[in-house]
Amino acid sequence: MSLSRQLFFILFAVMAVTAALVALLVTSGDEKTILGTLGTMISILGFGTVMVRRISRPLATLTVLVNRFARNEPIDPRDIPRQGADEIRRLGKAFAHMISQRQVLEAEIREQEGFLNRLFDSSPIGLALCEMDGSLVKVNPAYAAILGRTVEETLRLTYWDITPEKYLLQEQAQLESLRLRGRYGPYEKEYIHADGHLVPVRLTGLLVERAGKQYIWSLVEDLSTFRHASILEKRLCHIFEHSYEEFYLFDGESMRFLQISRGALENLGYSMEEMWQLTPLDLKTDYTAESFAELVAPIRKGERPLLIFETRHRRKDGSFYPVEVRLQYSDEGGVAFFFAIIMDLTERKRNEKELAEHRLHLESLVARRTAQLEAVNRELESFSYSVSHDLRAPLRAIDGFSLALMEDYGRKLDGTALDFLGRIRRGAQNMSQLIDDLLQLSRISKSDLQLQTVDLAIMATEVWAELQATDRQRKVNLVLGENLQVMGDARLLRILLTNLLGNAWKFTSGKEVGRVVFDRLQDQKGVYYIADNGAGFDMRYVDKLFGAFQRLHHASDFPGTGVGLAIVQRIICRHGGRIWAEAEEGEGATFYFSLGEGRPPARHRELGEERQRE
Amino acid sequence: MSDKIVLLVEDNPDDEALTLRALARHDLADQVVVARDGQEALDFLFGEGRYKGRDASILPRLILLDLKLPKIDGLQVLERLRAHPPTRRIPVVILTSSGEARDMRRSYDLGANSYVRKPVDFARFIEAARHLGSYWLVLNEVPDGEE
Repeated sequence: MSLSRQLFFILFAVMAVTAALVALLVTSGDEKTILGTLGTMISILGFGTVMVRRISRPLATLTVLVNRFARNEPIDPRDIPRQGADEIRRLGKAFAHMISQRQVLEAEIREQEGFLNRLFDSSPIGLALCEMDGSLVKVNPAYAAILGRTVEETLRLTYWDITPEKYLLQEQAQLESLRLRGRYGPYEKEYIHADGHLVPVRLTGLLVERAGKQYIWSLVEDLSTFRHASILEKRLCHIFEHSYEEFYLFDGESMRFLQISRGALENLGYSMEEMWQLTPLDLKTDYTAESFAELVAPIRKGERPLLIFETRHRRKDGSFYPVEVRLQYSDEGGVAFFFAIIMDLTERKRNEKELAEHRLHLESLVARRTAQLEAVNRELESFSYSVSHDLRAPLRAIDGFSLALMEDYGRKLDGTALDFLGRIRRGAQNMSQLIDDLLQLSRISKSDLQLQTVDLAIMATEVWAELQATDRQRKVNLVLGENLQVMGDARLLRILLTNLLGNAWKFTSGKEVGRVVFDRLQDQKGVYYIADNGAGFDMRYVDKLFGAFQRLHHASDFPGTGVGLAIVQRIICRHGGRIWAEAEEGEGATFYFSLGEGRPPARHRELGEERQRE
Repeated sequence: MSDKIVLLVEDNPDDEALTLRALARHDLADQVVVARDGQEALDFLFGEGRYKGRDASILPRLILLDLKLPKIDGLQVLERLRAHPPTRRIPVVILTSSGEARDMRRSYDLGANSYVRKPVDFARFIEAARHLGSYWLVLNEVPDGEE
């Protein structure tokens, strides 16, 4: 029963007592009594009014506020009644205190909640709360990031959306563990990333209860970087353990070796355990601690990224081998170490030594050969000098005394004897010509080329005039082409033309009207030709054409020493050109030549084919 | 200058015989003196050795000089006689088998007046000798030897 109602009953009871008193009063009729009774009634009414004002109204106000407080509705502390009965006032005060206390508590709770949320959101480890059926209730950004998604996107997924099928069995086992022990993991699995690839993760979890409902609380770590780092580490270890190259890691402070490649261990003869006790100074015995520190100072200070030097390493057995060292230094992440790659120079040094020996040998060989060659050349020179002098002298005697015989005793000799003497003289003269030609041939190889522009047409005209002077009776036409300027040695080119035109002159001697053409090929740059309509030759013997002393004709038909074309070829050779010929017996011959304009040998055959097609 | 003396410096007896014959045929010299090596040639010119006592002032009108000679070769002889004032102006014709450009250059450098290569065809040689003789012995004017 509420207080106001109790008050109402009290008031009603008072009224009833008052009414009874009035009734008593009326029946007694006593004026005094009536007046006393009225006074009592008035005072009772006054008391009732006071009661309502001081107790009932503040209580009602208080009741409304308390109800609002219960409903967690905002309350203005000024609404709390301050008047009324003493108890009421105290009650109001207590209520106001209660409200302020609650506000403090609420603020505390909000702060606490915010802090927890911040912890949750900023945790680098993925955190997720999901229901037993797998639907995600709450996840933090780290968890969403593992999946490559936002928190909102992730909350639309269930646990099964991000678990590859291959893990279903494993997941069942973990759920079983969860039911039995209230926790699961840690174990490793993979999540399906938003872009489809699988992310390795490590999970641990708890079964939690809230309001009678079970949830799974999971902690998830992304193992990608770990996994990558560990693969890298494994590979590096593998390299160190298996490489035949020599590389070394040693501590930047203590200088002790940290890791040595297999190649280095094998070359040095130490075990890894032994090496851990050593420093580079145990290998590089040419250095002291001071000189080595000085050596590596530039890379240690970062002045140079790499240091390359040569020294030698001492093996366990005390032997040495030459090395090239490529040294780097790192103090990344506060860990200082040196990394050295070593090249064993034994092989290279041996090769260099051998090469040097070879070179020396070669040089002495070349010097010896050069000396020999010089001696041979000198001999040849004196030989040709002596040929030019001494070989000719007896010939002169043969010729001279034959002539003397003919002149002084001609009348005493018959025709046959004179014919014999004539033959002796011709023989001597032919041999003299041969000697001259041979000397010329040898001189062409020796002399230096004096290159200049030469007009072959002018030169040919001059040579031709000389030839014509030897026999005015003959009729041979020389047809010259245009633009026959070449680069070459004028002296040698004159010998060349003298021989080629001389041949053409000689071999057309059987023709009534000889015709010689000297021109250049229109379709091939730098190729010249001298064609005649003379005796020609059999192409079967074309190989012998340019050999010294090789003749394709009988001397009785066409005199000659057989050296002329050998001289021609040597002159062409000296100019870096080529010469070749085509002919038909009785129809004439054509000599083609170039002067160093680089005609490939194959062109010879092509040219021949072209000619045949024509 | 009554005698036309020709000094033939030649070690080859065949060449000597043939040259003498050619000179004789064309009646080119009054007297031909033959020296068979370079030393002998110098001895004759300077009146030394075997020619000691010879009047060195009587000089040949022409010297026919072979290059390839025993002891002292033709070029050395040429060099020596060009170095001495009395013999400096004697016409010297190099008569040699050598067709080497080197020999020819050197001869002219040392003051040879002419360079003739001995041809094998002796008729041509006689022709050459005749030309030589008629030029150097008949046509060519030389300064007075008494000077």
